[in-house]
Amino acid sequence: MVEPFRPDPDALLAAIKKEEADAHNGRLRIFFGMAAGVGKTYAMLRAAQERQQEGVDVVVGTVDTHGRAETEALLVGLSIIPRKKLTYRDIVLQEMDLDAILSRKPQLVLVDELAHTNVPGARHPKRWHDVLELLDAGIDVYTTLNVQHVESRKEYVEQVTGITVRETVPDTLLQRACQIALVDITPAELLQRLKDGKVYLGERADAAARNFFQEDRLTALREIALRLTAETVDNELQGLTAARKTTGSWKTSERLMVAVSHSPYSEGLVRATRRLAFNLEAPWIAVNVDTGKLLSKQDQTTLTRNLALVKELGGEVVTTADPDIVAALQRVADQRRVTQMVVGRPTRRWLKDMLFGGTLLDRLVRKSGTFDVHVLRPDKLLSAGKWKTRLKGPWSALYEYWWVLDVMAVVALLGNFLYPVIGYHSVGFLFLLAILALSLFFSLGPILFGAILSALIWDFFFIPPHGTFAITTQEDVIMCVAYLVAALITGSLTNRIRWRENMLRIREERTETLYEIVRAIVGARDKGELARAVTERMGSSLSGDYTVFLRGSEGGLEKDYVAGTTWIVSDKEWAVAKWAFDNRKDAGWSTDTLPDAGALFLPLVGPTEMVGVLAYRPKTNNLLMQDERNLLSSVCRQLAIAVERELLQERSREMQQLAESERLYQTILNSVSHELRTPLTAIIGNASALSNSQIASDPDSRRQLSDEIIKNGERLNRVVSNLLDMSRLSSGKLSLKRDWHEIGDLISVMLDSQKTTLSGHNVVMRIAENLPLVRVDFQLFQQALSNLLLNVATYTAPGTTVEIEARATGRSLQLAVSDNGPGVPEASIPHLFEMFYRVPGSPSGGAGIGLAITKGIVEVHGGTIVVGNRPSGGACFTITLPIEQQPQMPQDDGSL
Amino acid sequence: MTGVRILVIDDELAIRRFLKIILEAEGHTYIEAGTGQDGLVAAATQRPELIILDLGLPDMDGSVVLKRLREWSSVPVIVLTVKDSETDKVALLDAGADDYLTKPFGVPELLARLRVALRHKQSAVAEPVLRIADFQIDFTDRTVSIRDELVRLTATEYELLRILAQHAGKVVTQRQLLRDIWGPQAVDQSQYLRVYIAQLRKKLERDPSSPDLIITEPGVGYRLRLVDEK
Repeated sequence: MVEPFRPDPDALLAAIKKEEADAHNGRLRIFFGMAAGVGKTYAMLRAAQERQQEGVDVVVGTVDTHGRAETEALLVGLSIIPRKKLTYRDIVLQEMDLDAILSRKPQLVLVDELAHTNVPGARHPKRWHDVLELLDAGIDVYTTLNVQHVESRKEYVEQVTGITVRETVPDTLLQRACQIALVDITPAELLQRLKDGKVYLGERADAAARNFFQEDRLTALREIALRLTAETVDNELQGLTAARKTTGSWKTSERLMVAVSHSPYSEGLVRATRRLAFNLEAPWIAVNVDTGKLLSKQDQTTLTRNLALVKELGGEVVTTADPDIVAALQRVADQRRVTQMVVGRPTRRWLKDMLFGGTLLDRLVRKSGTFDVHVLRPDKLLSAGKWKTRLKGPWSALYEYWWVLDVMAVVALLGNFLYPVIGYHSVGFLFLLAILALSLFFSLGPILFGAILSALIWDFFFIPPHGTFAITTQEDVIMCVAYLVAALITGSLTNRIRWRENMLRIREERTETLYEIVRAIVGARDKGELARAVTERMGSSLSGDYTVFLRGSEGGLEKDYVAGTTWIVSDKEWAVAKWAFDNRKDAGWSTDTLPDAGALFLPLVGPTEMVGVLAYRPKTNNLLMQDERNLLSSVCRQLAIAVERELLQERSREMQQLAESERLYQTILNSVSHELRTPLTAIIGNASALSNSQIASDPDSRRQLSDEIIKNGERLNRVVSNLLDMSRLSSGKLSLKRDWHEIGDLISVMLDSQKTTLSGHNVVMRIAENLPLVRVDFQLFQQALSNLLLNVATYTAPGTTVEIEARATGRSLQLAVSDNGPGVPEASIPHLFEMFYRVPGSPSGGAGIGLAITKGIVEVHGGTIVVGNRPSGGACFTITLPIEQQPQMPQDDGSL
Repeated sequence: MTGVRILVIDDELAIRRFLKIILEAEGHTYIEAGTGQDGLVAAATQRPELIILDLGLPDMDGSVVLKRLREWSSVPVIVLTVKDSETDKVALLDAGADDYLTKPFGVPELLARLRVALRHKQSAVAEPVLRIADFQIDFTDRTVSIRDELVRLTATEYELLRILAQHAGKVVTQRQLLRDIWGPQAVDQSQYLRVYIAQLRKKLERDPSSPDLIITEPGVGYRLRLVDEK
């Protein structure tokens, strides 16, 4: 059945994303050529001049004219950003000033020599990283590139021309380019130019360079360049057609896979797979199988490099763990529906192959039912490297050999003692036991050495005839040989088990750490705890210093130190952290950006926004291993999610508070409005009544009306005072004018001012003798007490007795205002001093601010106020003020 | 009290209108000025016998007006203050104002203050004896009696009472009292005053906890109250 054509949704999504990205990002135009001297820089400058004529803002980032007059002439009129000076090994070199360009923000910048390697100390190791940053910032870039510098073509060019290509640019950059302008001339023309001295050969003005410029080679290069351009165009076309859903030749059925390891062959295999995949127009994945075998640092580095190469070339990396490589590859192939697998032709190792059922290839072919296997020949150039790796290993364990030797000697001696008793066969077992024991502690090389040595010793000293290597009986020969084989096998197996256990242990620890961290993250209550959850626990898995920077309220990164870390970040490191945050990319040690920083900075990217940066300063300076990197990125992800959740919670809390203050504001507005309007209404009413001549002529009416006006005026005054006090209290801008006063005096002045309001009540004062002076603000405290008395008067019937008592108890002075009225309802007691609280069912006449102000004033003096109901009935307010150390009293003088 | 020329310096029309009515009803001649500058000019040209000065003037601070005024005139000045501006009140009293009124104020208070201020001005010769209801102080032989009984006072107590009596009806600032009795180094020792005032009240007042005679002016000082103020 033929399926109706359906464009691959992934491809569509990619196309849409690309369109979106293109809208924001700058556009890249590469002036592409087959070799130096074809005129790329010239073409670039010509195009730039045209742009400038059109009115585009063009600047020159870096352009190498190499002294050619025609090229130099084209620079006239273009604004040049001066290069930055960097010192490296006491030499001052110049590099393109990336920050200057970014702050200048032109529409178009010219960057020559895309493959250039930057001086150490520059932000990125390669100029193409700089270009990517420029594009991300929305700046268009024109650049030049030779075909030899393209990653996927490097090997081919090396083969064709015989030169070594040292600087490369990944193919993804070509895909990123909006336009590739091929600057093409015939090889004959180029050679003519060379003769005319118009070609800059660089530092390699030597035989090799001259070998380069030979017609057949140039023709081959030209073809490679043309092909590459055609491919890119083809790719674009495909991308466009896929998006437009026209019938395209989209082969979605093929999927390629290649096994990648620390083997130096992997690099070649990866490149070959990529070429194959491109030709078949199929996606490809690279599988790394972790068999549990411990890799040396060298091998780890190679593996990481290989995997990085896969990503650069556009493949997907899949890591899986399984002691059996073939089973693992089969599994992944099944999961991913791989149709073709690429392997290298293996070297033959007879013994091992026999033991394990053939080479990897054989086993793979045998087991593969669903995929084709491509076998590629290994690259000759890389074999030398392989040997070096091989030889390096065993030397490092020199002391282990010494140990093994000693143990063998001891066992030999022991055997010598026991030989008369047990016989020479049993001595062999002794040696075997020794080998087994040793394999628990030492690595493979010394064990094998020990096995062989023990066999020899046994043969020489114990198997008759003694003192020779000859063996008389046939059974003994077989026995010796069998022993040797057994020793070798068991030794290496035990060793393998030990390594695997070790590996599992490390793996388990890592998982344990991750679990711990996630658990801590889930249980953390605030951002600080979240950050600490990571910094305190990561050290046990990946040793080094950690710190976390989180986003501040304005949206930028905040230099907030997480309590508990001893690492204070330097200014330079802080700059890298900010860069990582702003650009959403890893930066620092073992990345492409500012790799000479001492620490690694990983941005914490939450589901909807950037929330911070995790910084890690390693203890050792080796490259970051793949599984360590995975651990870090898992932790980063978890942390980012948790932090974002926390930020959102904070925001919702703020929203709630805002809603709360809105509500409060409304309440105040309503309350104040009522409180001011009520007495005003009375004043206006009574005053206008007075204006009526008939009413005004009656003295009693006149008196009544004017009394009402005065009373309400005073009430209005009170409300205004209270409002002012309230605002001052809540703003905290209340400045106390404290002075020594007698509380009795204060009370009597207050009572005097409240004469009218308390006129219907019976006020009794009980002030103790010789009370200590208190340091209060007289006016404010008077206000506080007035409000209190007013409250008492309002809520008790006329005729009620109000007692005011003042006495000293130890270190404080107590002022009690009590009445024999109805008392305060129990439910209202906790709320009585709250702003705007009115006892339900109470007569209107107060905004509910009075008592709140009293409380505020009392507290600002360091005192307390409580309310309760007396057992004998009625309410009692108790104010407690601390007694300060009394000031110096005047000397008493004699009587008159 | 015979009618005198009273100058009111206040920028608020409502207050001036109200004061005009009251003062003219009492038989005084009313002069007004809306700014400090105008006020100073009016004081110089019209020679009032009492000035009511508002502190919140638009063109210059009330304290500056007072200062300028005091450079050449000792005319009694009553300042109108807003509640809570203690420091202003005290500073002005120390700078030469005779008394103060806190806004909003009623007519009785205003008239009482006026009477006191004018009385002190009118009596050029100091009376040897001051009588207020049951209280009597004889400045010449330095005796004080209450309800016809002689009261024993310490030297300091007498001094305190004497100063208050000499300014009877007017407020005397805390600073002034402390300075005059204990010297300039004691101007911040308000506790001295509290103690002595309390002692005086105990000896002189019918009900010390509700004093009639020696009145506390919150935040400012003390005043010996005259009968007609009740």
